[in-house]
Amino acid sequence: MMLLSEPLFCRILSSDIGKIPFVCRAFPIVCCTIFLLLQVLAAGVVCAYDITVVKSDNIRLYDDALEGFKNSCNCSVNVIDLSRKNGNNIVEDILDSSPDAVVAIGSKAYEAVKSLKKIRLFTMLVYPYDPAKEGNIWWVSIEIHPDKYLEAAAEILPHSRRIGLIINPALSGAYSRELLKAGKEKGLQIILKEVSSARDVPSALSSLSGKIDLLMMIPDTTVAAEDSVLSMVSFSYQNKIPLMTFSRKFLEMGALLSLEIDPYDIGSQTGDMAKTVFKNGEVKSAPVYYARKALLVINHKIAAKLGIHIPDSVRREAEVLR
Amino acid sequence: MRTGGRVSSSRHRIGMRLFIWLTSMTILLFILSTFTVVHRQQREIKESLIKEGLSLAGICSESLRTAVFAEDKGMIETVVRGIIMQEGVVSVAVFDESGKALFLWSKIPDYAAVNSAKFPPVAPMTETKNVFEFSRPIAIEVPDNSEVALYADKPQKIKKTVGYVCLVIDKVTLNAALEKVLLLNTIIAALFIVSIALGIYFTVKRITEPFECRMAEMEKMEAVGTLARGIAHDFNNILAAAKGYLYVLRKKLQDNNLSEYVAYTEGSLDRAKKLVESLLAFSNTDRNKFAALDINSVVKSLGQAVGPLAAGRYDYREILYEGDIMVKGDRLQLEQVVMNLVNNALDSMSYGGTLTIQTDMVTLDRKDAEKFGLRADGRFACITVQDTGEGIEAEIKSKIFEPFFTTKEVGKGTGLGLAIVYGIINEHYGFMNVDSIRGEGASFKVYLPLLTDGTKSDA
Repeated sequence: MMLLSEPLFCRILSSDIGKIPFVCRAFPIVCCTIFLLLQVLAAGVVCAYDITVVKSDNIRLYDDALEGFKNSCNCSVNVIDLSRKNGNNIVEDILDSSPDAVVAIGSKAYEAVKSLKKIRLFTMLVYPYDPAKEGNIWWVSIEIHPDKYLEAAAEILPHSRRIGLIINPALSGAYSRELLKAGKEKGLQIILKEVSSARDVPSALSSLSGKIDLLMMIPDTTVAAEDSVLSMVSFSYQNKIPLMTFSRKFLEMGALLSLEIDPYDIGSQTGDMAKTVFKNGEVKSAPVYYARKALLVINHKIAAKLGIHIPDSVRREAEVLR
Repeated sequence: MRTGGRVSSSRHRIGMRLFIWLTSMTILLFILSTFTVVHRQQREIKESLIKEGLSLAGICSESLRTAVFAEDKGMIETVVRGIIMQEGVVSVAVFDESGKALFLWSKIPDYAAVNSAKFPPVAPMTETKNVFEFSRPIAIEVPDNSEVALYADKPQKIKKTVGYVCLVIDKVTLNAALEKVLLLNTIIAALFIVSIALGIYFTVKRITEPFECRMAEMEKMEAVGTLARGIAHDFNNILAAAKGYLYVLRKKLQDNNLSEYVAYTEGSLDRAKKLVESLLAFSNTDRNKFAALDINSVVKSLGQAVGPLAAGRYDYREILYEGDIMVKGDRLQLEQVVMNLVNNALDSMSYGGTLTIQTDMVTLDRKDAEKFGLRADGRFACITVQDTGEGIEAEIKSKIFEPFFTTKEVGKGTGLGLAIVYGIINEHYGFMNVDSIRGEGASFKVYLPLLTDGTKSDA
């Protein structure tokens, strides 16, 4: 801008420039200057925050979430991948760089940074949820709101009023209570069986035989263990009871449908939450937010084997595996 | 004779110098290569030992998983006993994850306690002055209870450390192996050096022997020339004085019948003077008289004289090079060279034969030049005088150029003909070569450096 200062600019234009009033001559230069200043300020606002993202591993689940966060947050992001870096000194490294916030993607990352007290900490894809930890931590849960599970079940299987649920209370007790509460509100009977290990699942299934119309599996590593899933699929076939899960990988093993999270959207949701927190200047954490987006996936072959008709309205909305 | 001084100073040293230089280089190369090989082998042995130690620690770690998890000391001892029996293992210690020792065994006093002090071990291998220390975590696989198990396509098992195994291997075995390698390589290198030194000695000897023989001949001729020059010079003075007195005596004995004896004495002195002049011709030549001349013209001019000499008794053949062969030299001396050679040839053919004089241009490479003691390689004029006479015996071939050496009857030859030829050719920076088989004749070849390359000269 210095090069286009008024005397030089005037000399370049013409020798008659002196006849134009000074205000008119200065106007374009002032406009340009204001425009450039606005651009600089805008850029400063967009990238006003430096955020350190700690990623648990180099797998697609976390990569999608990171991508969603970056696109939503619009902030300067420094990524630490724990698959490449030892997490022992990570807190010291973060404190040295003093970012505005830290985002932990996955449980391993959360464990590595949870001791940070004075920096805002956003977490996503962390399992199991640690409700005791509050203060400077904002959560986007790995789970979908219980209502969405029950609504999907009601839409696809309208006659299923008795729902069987096997959980390990140590891992998914809080979420199952929310589910029970939501079922009760919708007039559904949820029969809960608690197990402490995968070995207990077959006996829990036996006790549910003849008592349920739908078997539900929520995120719980005890119940989602391979042996447990095989037992549940076997139970589903033998008793013609559809199995509803939370991930499409179980559909390949024989489940009817899954209502699963979208890691990219969880990242976006975390980014939106971070923006809101920065905007409002919040320093104390809010309640846990459930994953806002749920993807319905149906196994067409299993539906046919179980003699279940999937309504066209559902087919249009869902992803159908053939 | 001018090259003689340089030759005599280096004659005995060239071969030895070459031998010492080559042997030194060989020894240096062998020392370097031996050092490199030993260093590499020692490194490989060390790496092998480290690999073995890591492998043992790994086996121990894998085998001890259940035993350490259950803290079953009997089972731990059973596993570790197999490791203790391995060569070089001097200490084994097993700890749980908190550092509590579950098993300690050591040949080195208090070494296990040292291991305990270093808990938890960080590096898989640590090297000290006397030992290698290996450590390995003992880990069991536990199910992954994280979100990865729920959502990832292939959930991974995670490893949980339940203890550590520390293994110590001493360096006695390593040091013994290193010493063995060093000794073996040194012996091999020494044998190779001795063999190669012998090879070099004989090769150098074979290569330099002809050259040294030639140098020896030249040195000998130089000594003879120096002696002859000294004697001839003094003799000349004595003869001049004697002739002066005889002249005075003859004047005083005029009309006396004794003057006849004075005339005989003068004749004897004249012959002695000629002899001295011949000796001087052998030992010294004035190079200032040298001029460009065509070798063919020298031979042609002599041919006119040789033809009548050979007529009737000998066949005379003259084979001349088609163009001019220019050299720098003294025409009279070169004529004398050819004439002396022709006289020798004719003398050797008592019962007739063929005398051939041939001129040619030849190219000598560096190897030939060095062999004949020439200053440089290149193109030379070659005059060949060949006869079909008695030939020369192999035993006397090396002596024929020596002054006063002759095979002719007493009184028929002075023994200076070939010595003079040798002296003249040497002053012309040329050389001579003789090929002869007893009973089949002899071939004398005279080589002279060409003045210009090619036949179109400025002569």
